[in-house]
This record gives sequence, C-alpha cells and structure tokens, in this order.
Amino acid sequence: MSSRGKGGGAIAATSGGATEAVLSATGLGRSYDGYIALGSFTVDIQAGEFVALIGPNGAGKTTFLNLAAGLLDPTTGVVEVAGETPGSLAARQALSFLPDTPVFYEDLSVVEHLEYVAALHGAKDAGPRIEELIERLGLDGWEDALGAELSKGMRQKVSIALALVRPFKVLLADEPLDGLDPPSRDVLFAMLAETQAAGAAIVVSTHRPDVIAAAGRCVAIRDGRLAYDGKPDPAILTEIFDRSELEGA
Amino acid sequence: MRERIRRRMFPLIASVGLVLVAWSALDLALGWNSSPTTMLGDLATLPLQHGADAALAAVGALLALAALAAGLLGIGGLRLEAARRRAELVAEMRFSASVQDLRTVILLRRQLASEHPRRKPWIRLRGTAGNPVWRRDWQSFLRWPVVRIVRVVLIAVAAGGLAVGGYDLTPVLFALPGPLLLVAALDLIEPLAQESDHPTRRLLLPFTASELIRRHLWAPVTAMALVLVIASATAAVASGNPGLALGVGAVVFIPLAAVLICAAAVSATNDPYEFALTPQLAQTVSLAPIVVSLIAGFLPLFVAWKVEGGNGAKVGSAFGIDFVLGFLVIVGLAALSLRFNKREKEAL
Repeated sequence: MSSRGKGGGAIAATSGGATEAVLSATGLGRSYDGYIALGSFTVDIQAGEFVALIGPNGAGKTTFLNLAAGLLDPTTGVVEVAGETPGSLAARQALSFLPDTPVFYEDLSVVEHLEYVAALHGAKDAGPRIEELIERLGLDGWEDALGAELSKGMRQKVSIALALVRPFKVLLADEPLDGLDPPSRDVLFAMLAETQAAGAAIVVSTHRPDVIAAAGRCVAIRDGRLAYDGKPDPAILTEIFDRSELEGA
Repeated sequence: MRERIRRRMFPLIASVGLVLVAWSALDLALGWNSSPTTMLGDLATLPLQHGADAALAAVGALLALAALAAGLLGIGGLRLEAARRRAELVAEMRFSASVQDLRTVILLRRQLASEHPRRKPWIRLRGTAGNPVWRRDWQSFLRWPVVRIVRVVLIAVAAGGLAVGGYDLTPVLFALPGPLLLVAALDLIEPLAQESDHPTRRLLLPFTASELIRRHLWAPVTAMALVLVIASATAAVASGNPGLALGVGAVVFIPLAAVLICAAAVSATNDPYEFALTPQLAQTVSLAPIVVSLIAGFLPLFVAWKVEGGNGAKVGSAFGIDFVLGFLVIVGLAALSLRFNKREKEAL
C-alpha cells in the first residue's frame, strides 16, 4: 500500500500494518587499499523510522550512506534498499539522497531542477509540491536563479527541495543542516517529521544534538564499526564518544 | 645541446632564406606574383595597388595608429585581479588543450568570454508533463546567450557557403563543413555533457546510462537538424541552384545531424586520462569525432558533386550516403553506451 502524505514525496512502505526493513545492511564493509572505511556493519531500518547516524569524522558515516545510495560497491556484506540492490533502478526509485555537497546542472534554474528531478522519478502533478517547497524553504524569488548564483545556504535549501520533491521510501541525508539559518532548520525539522509520518524511513548523518534529539533512534559508528544502536540517550553517547567528537552529547 | 642544434640548422635556414630572396628577385624581374614573400608584400601594399590613391594607404596607417593608441589608453584601465584571473584561465586552458581535454577547454573558454546561460530564458517552458529529458534539453538551449546563438548561425551559414565553394572552386572545401558543424554540435550537446560532468546526480536517476544518453540525444539532434536547414538554405541562396542544395540537405540532414551530435557527445564526454598509459589510443579517441564529422560532412557533398546528370540523380546518390551515416550513428551510440556503463562500474 502506498500513500502520499503531507510529507510530499514520501511513499509509505508499510503493508497491512506491519513494518518491514526498508534499509538493511548485513556485515557491510568497504575498504580502500587496505584502509577499512566501514567494517562489518549491520543495521536494519524500518519504514517510518527517523535514525540519526552519528560518529566522529572519518568514522564511516558517509561511506555507509554512499553504499546505501549505490554510489559505492561494498567490499564485504550486503545492503538492500526496499529489498533491492543499491544502484538498481528500483532502488534508485525508492531512495532519495541528500549529499553533503549540493550538485547542480549549470544550465538549469532552481525550478527547472525541481521539475526535472520530479518528472524523472515519476512524480505526478508536481507543480503544487514544488510551489510548497519553494515557499516553505524560503526560495521565493530564487526560482529562476542558476546554481552559480546561489549562496551556500541557498544551495543547501535547493538540495533539500530536490531530495523531497520526488517520491521515495528511504531518505538519506548527509549533514543536511549545514549552512542553514535557524528558521530554515526549523522548517527542515518539520518537513522531516512530515516525511516520517508519511511512512518513509529517514537516515540523517549528523553531529548536531538537535537532530539526535529529534530522531527516535541513534546509530553510532566508530572506526567503521557499529558502536551504539538504540534510543538517543546522552549518557550512553558520552560514554562512547569524547565531547569534542560529538557536539552536545 | 640547444646551441648544437642551432648550429646544425643554420645552413638549412640560410638556404631557405636564399631561395626565398632569389624567388622574389625572379618575381620582380619577370613581373610575377608567385613567391610567398612577394604575396606578403602585395598584402602590405594592397591599398596602393589597382589604382588606389595614397589617401587609401593612409587609412591603413591611421587604423594601425588608432589601434595602438586604443591599446595604450585601455591598458591603464585594466584591473590587475581580472587580468591575473584571465591569465590563470588561459594557462589552464593551454594545459587542457595539451592533454586534448576538449570539454574543459570549452568550459574555460566560456568562462574567459563570460558566456554564461541567461537567467531569463528566451521562452519559458514550465510544467512536468511530457518527456522530462526532452524539455530539460530545450530549457538549456533556451538559456543560450546571444553570442552562442550568433556563433551557431554563423557556423551554419559558413558551412553552406563552403559547400557551394566546393562545387564552384575545389571539392577539397567539402572537407570543412563537417568539422565546422561539429563546433556547433559541441554547444548543442551541453545537456548530456552536464550529466557526464555530474556523475553523482546521474547515478541517482532511475535510468540506465544507455537510456539516459539516448533520451538526451533527441533534442540536440532536432536542434542540429535546424542548423543544417540554415546551412542548406544558405547553400540554396549562394549557389543559385536551390533544388540541388535543398534536395541534398533534405535527404541527409537528419542522419547527418545524428552523426554530428553523436560525435560531439563522444568528444564532450571524453576522459583524456582514460588511456593515459596508451597515448596513441588516447589521441585516436580524441581525434575520432573530428575525423567522423569530416567524413560525414564530406561524403554527401562529394558524391552529389561527382555524379553526372540532373538534380534528381545527384540528390538520389546523396540519399545512398544515409546508410553510411546510419552506421556511424550506431557506432557512436555503442561507443557512448560502453563508455558510460564502464564509468558507472568504475565509479562504484
């Protein structure tokens, strides 16, 4: 059963009331010339979950997100998105990825980007959704701007809009609050909550305490291995990480 | 070492110089105009020849002085930062050219010329209905700056003129329209080149590389066909034989447009470092689009020129070339699909 909620592009992955793992990694590993970026990482993420992926720099968070998005092949283990191998067309359709560095075509405006991505992913009647995203993210007046004209914060907002404009079952976001002003952060939190309510799984890589607090589950990686998986409990997290490694934990 | 080479080369250079002086002296004595130095002298004294008076020669001198004065006055207003930035871009462009990285050369040249897409498109295409890739490609074309439009139109006109020149002067000129039109095709292939430039975005789209490439070729081929219509119309006007020019144009313009766009796509998505260890192969891959466009432009014009008989026979013979052009398109598509599939595997 699929449904489109206020969360816009999100499609619920629930079936008959039972939840299923929409993102599943078993013994997942990736190494580069002997350096282990991620080693034997196992996690199951259900539809409708909001997971904060935390860990110090170089822990393997972005490697995991890239593996799940199909941008990297695993060295060991398997990962599945909605039961599909990442990189397959079905997995690309099911997964929306918000990378840490926004990527834009140089010859398209903001609104043309949104229309293009929405249409390629089969979003029907995306016009109202595009208007809503532009308004809520404060992109009014920037619809016709080209990528080169945007500031860092505006680029991040457009990147968020691109991730949310299309249907998906899993949203992966790598440091999505980077460069956003406080009002925009509040808007993003609200949008993530709506997306979660619509049944999509959300995985956000972050160092920020407000994101960790908003998430229902916290998965911590350290040195490429699972260090913690459970409720975002500051007491446990401070046992695992130095304060300097995890802001505010 | 350098000095030794110079010493060895000196007799050769001196001999060439002597031959040139002797040749010019012969020209002077016999009243000919055959040596390169006599031709250069002719060019320099052009205003004084053919009965032109001294006042006309003075115009040339005045123009040269005015250019010198303008240069000297203008140099004071140059901003050092801008000049330095331009110098850096030129250095980067020179390096890219030396490794035959044509895509980077094009991007750097656009930066140097401040040739950016227009913020306000000529015509606004909105909505998400229909084929998204087709619409996205036309949205890209509709943001072309004036200078790019003028350049492509001038290329089309020049290609048409060269085709007529081939008929009237020498068929060697038939070799030029193809490579010239490839320059226009490189502008038209920009949307596909953007996909190649941004692999992260491409790898997240729910399409295979081959399908995405195919979808990205329709709009450029259509636009290229329009460019070829301009070239045919120019040839029709310039030749005084519109039937033949438009006939040949009509039977080859779609397959020729497809060949030129495929050649441009192969060129624009080329990775100059892909065959770094086998430079001969790298050079072959870099040169292939130019050679293919030369052949594709040359063949229909040459065949139509060579065939005896009326316009119908010439147009009919040019039609036969469509099979060769079709084969080149298939080869181009296969090369592009192989390249993108290989890159996707390597990216992972």
